[in-house]
Amino acid sequence: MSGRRAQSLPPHMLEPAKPQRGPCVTAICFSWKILTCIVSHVLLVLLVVSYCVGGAYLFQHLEGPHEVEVKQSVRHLRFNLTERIWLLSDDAVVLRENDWIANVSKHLANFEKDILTAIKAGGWDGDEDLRKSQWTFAGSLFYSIIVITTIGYGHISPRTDWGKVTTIFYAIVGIPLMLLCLSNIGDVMATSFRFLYWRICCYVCTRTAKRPRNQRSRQRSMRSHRNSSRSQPPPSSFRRSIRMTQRSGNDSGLGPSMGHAYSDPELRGRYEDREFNYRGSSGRSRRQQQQHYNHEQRHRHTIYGDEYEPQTQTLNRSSRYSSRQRHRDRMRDRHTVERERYLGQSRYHVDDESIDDFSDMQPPAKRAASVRSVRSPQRQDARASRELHRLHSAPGRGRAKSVDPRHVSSSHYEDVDEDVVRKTPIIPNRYVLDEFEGSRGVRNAPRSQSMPRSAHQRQRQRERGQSPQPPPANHRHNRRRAGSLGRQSSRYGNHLELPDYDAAPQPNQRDHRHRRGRSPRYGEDYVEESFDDASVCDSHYEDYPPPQSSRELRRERRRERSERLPPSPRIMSPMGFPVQRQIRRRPSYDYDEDDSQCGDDDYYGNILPKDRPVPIWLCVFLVVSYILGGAVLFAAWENWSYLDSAYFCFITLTTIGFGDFVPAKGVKDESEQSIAYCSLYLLFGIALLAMSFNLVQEEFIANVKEVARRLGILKDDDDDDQDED
Amino acid sequence: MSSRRSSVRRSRKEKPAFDRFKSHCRHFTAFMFSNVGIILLVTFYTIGGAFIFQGIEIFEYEKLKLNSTQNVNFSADCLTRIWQLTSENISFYDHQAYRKRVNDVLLEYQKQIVDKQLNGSHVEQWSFSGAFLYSLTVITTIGYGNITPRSEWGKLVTILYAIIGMPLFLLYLSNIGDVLAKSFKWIYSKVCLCRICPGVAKRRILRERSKMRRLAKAMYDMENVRSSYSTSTSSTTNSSSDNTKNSLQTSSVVDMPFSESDSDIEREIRGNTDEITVPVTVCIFVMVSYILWGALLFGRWEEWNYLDGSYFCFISLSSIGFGDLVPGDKVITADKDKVEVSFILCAVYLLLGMALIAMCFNLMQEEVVHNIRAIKRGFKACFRCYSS
Repeated sequence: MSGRRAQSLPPHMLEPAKPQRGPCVTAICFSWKILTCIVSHVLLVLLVVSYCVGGAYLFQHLEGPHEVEVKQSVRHLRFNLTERIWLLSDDAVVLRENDWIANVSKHLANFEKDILTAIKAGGWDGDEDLRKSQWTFAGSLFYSIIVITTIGYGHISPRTDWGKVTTIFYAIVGIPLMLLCLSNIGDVMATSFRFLYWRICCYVCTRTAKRPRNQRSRQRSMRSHRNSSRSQPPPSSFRRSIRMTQRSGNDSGLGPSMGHAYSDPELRGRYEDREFNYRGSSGRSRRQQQQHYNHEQRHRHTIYGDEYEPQTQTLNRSSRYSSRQRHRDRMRDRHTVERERYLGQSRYHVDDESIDDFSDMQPPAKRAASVRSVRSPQRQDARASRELHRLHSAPGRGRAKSVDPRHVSSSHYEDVDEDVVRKTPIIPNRYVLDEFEGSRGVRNAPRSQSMPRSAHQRQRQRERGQSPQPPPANHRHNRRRAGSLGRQSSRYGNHLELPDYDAAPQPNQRDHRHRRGRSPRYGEDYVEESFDDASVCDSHYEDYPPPQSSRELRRERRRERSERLPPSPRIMSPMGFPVQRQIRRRPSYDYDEDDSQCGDDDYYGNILPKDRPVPIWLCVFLVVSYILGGAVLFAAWENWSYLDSAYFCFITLTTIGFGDFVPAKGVKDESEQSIAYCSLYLLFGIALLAMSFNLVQEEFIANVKEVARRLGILKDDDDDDQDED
Repeated sequence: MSSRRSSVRRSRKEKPAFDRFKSHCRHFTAFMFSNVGIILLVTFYTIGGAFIFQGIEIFEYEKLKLNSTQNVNFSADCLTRIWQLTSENISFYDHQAYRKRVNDVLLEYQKQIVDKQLNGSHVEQWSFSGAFLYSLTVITTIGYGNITPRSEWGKLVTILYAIIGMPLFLLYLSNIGDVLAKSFKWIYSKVCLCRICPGVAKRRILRERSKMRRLAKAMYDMENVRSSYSTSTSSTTNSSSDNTKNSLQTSSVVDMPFSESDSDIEREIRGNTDEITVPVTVCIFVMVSYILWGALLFGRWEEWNYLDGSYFCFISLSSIGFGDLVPGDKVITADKDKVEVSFILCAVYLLLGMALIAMCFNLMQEEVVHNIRAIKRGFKACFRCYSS
């Protein structure tokens, strides 16, 4: 766990995120993370290797003697036959051809049957030399590898009873171990491959950061679109479209509709106003909200006073906006599984970023607040009063306070049941975007040039936002506002928002219909708004949460999150790749895809190479070239034809493993060497496959889902694309 | 897959005229990827593969047979050679020399047999059922290897077939595994947890609740003691945050509604079967019993002993597939009908078994994850105790 964690936070993510810490501490942290990462991975690999070696010894001792026995028995058979023929010829007084042939042919038939039995049941390989054994150490090692990778050539297989039993148990333990190891290695390789691809292969384009970035992203989106059947979206949404391809479910339906809409502030404003009206429709009971409002209001008055009211207006709007999006998400999301996935992502996001930016805590708070409203009224009551109480009693008020909202959210996750969680807003990207907007404004600055006005605005705010740490109160205040504004603009700029005022395309209309079904109520709007205010105010004091506590909280929330999300009930097969994916799936949701979905181009001023998707064709090309390279190598080593070697490589890497071509079957002299080559080849190859699955799966799933959506067989495509890569 | 693609193309081309046709296509593809359809799809794909491979390999075999027809009868060849030896040496009858020469001849014969057995092409294996089993082992990645393509085209087609077939099979597994898991959960909840009988279920729930309440209370007490301690002494961020967190947690635990009203319990009884986790032992029991059942079945068909039977079942279902034991291997020449039945039986057993094992792994994973989390929480609670 810790290893993966460390791996998911590479240096370039860690470094800018902890401005409060000294470089020394950062370095120690970083090295510790690297250490744990290395140790965990190396340990796992060592475990697998030692497991293989142990298995090799075991099988050698179990099966070696038996093989020798079989060989001796075959030799005895032949000697017996020779002896018998001699006797037959010797005893005969008169050697008549017919009788003799009849007798000898009977013996020969027996002999043939015995040999066949020795081959089939005894596993005899046709070699009588006692010094040459199949079950040498190398052979047994190869056998162990073949078993736990589920390739199963079958060129050597256990023949004794104990060997069979041992194989069964060995496989039961070894296969999951191997899969775990492979998935781990695949993760590492995927990360480093992404890094390589984006840092080194695309060094030129990433290097010239400012202008050509847009170009590059366009190019990238073209590339990613080549595989999808979606039509090209309008120019200003290129970056978005990338994310869109990745975000598998919700937004992919809206492809072309989300054009330039948000680059225009006026329209945006209109949209917001309109949104304001629609606000009350999120289906919560009025009473609940009212209660909420009361609590929060009290809260705010007691602690902060009303001083922050004006600034938070913007935030209100934005959060309203977002909850609207939530609403839409809910509408569109027919797959609960998918929703869960999103939920996991978004929650994780809060976690993930919170370790980086301790200074930006407000999104969780907001989330907590928005989530809180789903809870039952009494519980809210209780909790709110408890919070208040704690607030008064706690020694460091600001600190305790800062912890609070997260608490609320975390405890919330504990006791709401699944349905509620499903209904809770699902917005994968928002918080992350917000947080990064706040803290990395300067780095982002050059990137926003595609949207001039908002970018300008943002930049100004960012300059303000970059006040020295720790800023005085009014600075904080400014910064908050900057953050909120930035957030807002960022939301418009970077999200796949659907312009409602447009001539609405299909999914849009659906939303409209739905919303129109409920009457917008202004009173509720007000309630909601002030509620948002309160939550924002909450977040105001959270500028300096204690790092440690927040980390602990993060951990805890992670735990709770994972508790809430049961593993998705779709495993593919017990063994082989599907499970690899299944095992990898969660981590990749948690650690990789989220980032890749959220923090794409617009956010990480410098790229985060690990988060970028690598084009499918590259992965396919990699695997194919690996197979072809293996074909060339094996053709040279084993004197096979190229087709045979390619066939062998394919059959091996897909773990089918017929065993009609096995290395070191014909060439007995240097069997160790070729076995070693083959083992290395297949281990690395399977890891490579795992890696490319890891890299490709999200994009591929998105593409397939899109195709399925077009066809209107959405109901099934979820399972469908889970498997199709 | 291919049907879907084709339907896309068609529907795009003739949109206005073939609206109905298009919708039919959609329904058809949707059905094909649904639970029932996927079984049909896999079956037909396998059958189609069987025909293709059979055609290719038999064609190849014919070609091979034309090339080399002479090595048909090894034993007769060997016999005549030994006879010649014997008749030649009949005059001097040197024991050692004769024996050595006969042994040489026999060794050659033996090598021929081995070669034929291990590397020869067995056309009789490419019967329809054999080809069917071959396609099945390809797409399930079992790969027994008792039947392998000898021709170049066979190898190429195998690669392509696997590329398309394996995702299809995985799709099948996930679909069917899902369905099986759901139904198994349902059955488990109804039968094993006695949810059918309301009295038993009610008692069980009451027991659980009381246990939980006791636990929560204990935790809360502990928490109170600790919180008083920490607020009085500490001002470090760590403990305060810890404190708040803990108190919040426990209070949330305590807050949990422990109303023992009938309606509540009723709801829980009726509740979602998704939330039930099936114990690992049950899953393991299901898997083991399936393997043993297969061992029994195949033991009867193939005259294997139980160990061999269960070994075969395990190796097959785990997709290792050594191929040292293969259904229909022993009786392949003796009885044609029996071979066919055995092949079909094996195919059904494999298809069902892999889905079943997928289901079991699914359920086990859920349970294990659940347990691990519980353990983690326990550890954390312990640590918190100590640290305060």
